[in-house]
Amino acid sequence: MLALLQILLSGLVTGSLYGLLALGIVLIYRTTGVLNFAYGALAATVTCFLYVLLTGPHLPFWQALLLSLLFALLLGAVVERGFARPLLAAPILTKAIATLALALVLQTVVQALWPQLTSPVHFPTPFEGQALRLGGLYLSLADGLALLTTALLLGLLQLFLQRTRLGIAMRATADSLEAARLMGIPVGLIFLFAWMLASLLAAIAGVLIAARQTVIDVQFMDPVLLLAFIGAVLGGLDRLAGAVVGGLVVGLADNVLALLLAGHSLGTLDLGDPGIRQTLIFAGFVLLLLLRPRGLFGGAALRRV
Amino acid sequence: MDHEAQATSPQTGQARNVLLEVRGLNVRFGGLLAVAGLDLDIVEGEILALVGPNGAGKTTVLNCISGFVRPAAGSIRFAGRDLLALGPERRAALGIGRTFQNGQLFASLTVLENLLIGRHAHLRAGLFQGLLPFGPAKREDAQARQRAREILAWLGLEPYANRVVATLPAGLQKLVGVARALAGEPRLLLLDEPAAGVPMREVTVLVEHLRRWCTDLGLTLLLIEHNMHVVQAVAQRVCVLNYGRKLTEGEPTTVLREPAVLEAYLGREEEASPLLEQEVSDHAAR
Repeated sequence: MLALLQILLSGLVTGSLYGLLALGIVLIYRTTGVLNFAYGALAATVTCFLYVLLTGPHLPFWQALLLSLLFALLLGAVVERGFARPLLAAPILTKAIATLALALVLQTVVQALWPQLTSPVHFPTPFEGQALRLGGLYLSLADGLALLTTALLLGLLQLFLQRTRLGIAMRATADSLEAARLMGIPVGLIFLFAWMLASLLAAIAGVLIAARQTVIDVQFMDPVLLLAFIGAVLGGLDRLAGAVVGGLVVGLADNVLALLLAGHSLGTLDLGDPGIRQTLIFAGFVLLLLLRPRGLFGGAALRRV
Repeated sequence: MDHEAQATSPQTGQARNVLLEVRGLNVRFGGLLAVAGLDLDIVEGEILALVGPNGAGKTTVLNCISGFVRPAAGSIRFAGRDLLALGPERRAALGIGRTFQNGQLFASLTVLENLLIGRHAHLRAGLFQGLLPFGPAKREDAQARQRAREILAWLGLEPYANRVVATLPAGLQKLVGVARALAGEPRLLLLDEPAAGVPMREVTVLVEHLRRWCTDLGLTLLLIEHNMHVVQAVAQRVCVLNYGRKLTEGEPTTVLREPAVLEAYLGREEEASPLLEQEVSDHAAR
C-alpha cells in the first residue's frame, strides 16, 4: 500500500513537470499556432546557461537562477522576433518542422559555446540529497519544490489569464486574430509576450527536471519533451487545464507501469527496462488517439482555433 | 469633426452629413475585379442595406471600409478623414465598428469578456499597466465592465454575461457579435448578414433592435443582408451590387422591384438560394 502511494506521489511529481511543459506548449500553440518541438531545447539551453553560471563564475544558486530566468525571457523574445514572427503566416506544418530546425540550432550553439555539456555533467543544486518525510512517504526536496512550483505557476497563470486585461487580450488573440487586431489589440506584442512567458515556463521546468536528475547534458530534455507533448495532445492542445491534466496522466502512467513491470520478464526481454515502458505509453497514446482524436477532453481538432 | 463633408442646409440644423464617402473603389483578387468603380455615400443616421447575389462583392466592400482589404484604386473618407492610410485598428478607434459573417467572436471567452475586448480601442492605460492591482487601469476596467453590462442589459443579453460564447446558440452569438461592436461605441456600424442563421422569430427582435440603435444611439448602419424581409423592414436605402458594380440604388420598395435587380438574382437561379428567390419574387408580386 505504502509502495503504491509512493509510486503515485512520484508519478504526481513527474506528471506535474510534464504538465508544466505541456502548459507552455499549449500556450504557444494557442496564441501563435506553432507546434513547438523546440520547447525542450529552449528549456535545455536555459538550464545549460544556469549550469555554466554555477560552475564557471561560481555564482550563488539563487542569483544564478534569477539571471537564468532573465536570460529565458530574452531568449523567448529573440526566438519570437527572429524565428516565429517571420513564419507567422506559414502553414502549421511548415512552422512545426521549422521548430525542429530551431531545436538543432539551439543545441549546436550550446555545444559550441560550452563543449563540456556534450557529455553528461553533474548539475549542482542546494536541494541535492535533502528530503522530506511525510508519514512513511519519502519526497526529495527537489520533487517537493517541483510540485509546489507547478501548482503555484498554474494558479498564477490562471489568475493572469482570467483576471487581467493582458490575459484576456491574449485569450482573445488566440480565438480570433483578425477580430483581435480590429479591436485594437497589439497582437505583435501579445505574440512576443506569449513566447517570453512560455520560455520562462520552459526554463523553470528545465531547472526543476535538472535538479531532480542531478545529471544533465545538452539533450537531456529530449525524452522529456516527447512525453510532455503526449500530455499536451491528451489534454486536447487547446486548453491549459487540459494540458496539465494530460501531463499528470502521462506521469502517473509512467510510474505505475514502472511498478507493475519491475522484475518481470518475457523470455529474454526485461520488462522493467524504461524503453519498454515508453513503448507501452506511446502505444497507449496512439490507441487513445484512434478512439478520441481530440484528446481526452479536447473540443477543437488539431488546428488553430 | 472639424472638416466634415456637409451636404446641406445649415439653417434647418438638420445637417445631412455624409459620414462615409466611397469613390471609384476598385478591388482586384488576381485577375478578378471584385469591386469595380463603386461610388457610395452613407448619410449620418441612416440605415443602408447592401444587397446582391453571392459573389457580388458586398463583403469585400465592407472589408475595404474596415481595413482588411486594400483597394487597387479609389478613395474612402470617413467623417472627412482619408481611411485608406489607416490600419484596421485605427479605423475602429475612429468609430467604425463591424460584425463578421462568420462571427469571428472570441469563442472561448465569456460574453462579458468579448465586450471588454470590444472596448479595447477606448482604453488609455496599457495592457501591462493592467497587471497592477491598483491605479488608473483598474478604474478604467471597472468603467468598461459597467458600460459592457449596460449594453448587455439593453440587448437583453445580461443573463448570458458570464457564459462562454461557444456554448450559446447561433442566434445569440449573432447578438453578441453586435454587442461587441457596440461596445466600441461606433458612429458607423457595419453588419455582415446579421440575420443569417437566426431563426425567423429572433429576426423580428433583431429588426426591432436595429431600428432602435439608429434612433437611440444616433448610429449609422451599413448592413449586408440576404433576407429581404429584414432589408424591407429596416433599410431606408438599398444599394444593389452585381459583379462588383452598382446596379442601382434607392428606396427598398422601388429598387427591389426593378427588372435589372430581379434578373441579377433570378437570372442565376442555380446559384441563388431558393429562399432568396422566393423573397425577391414576393416583393415583385406586391
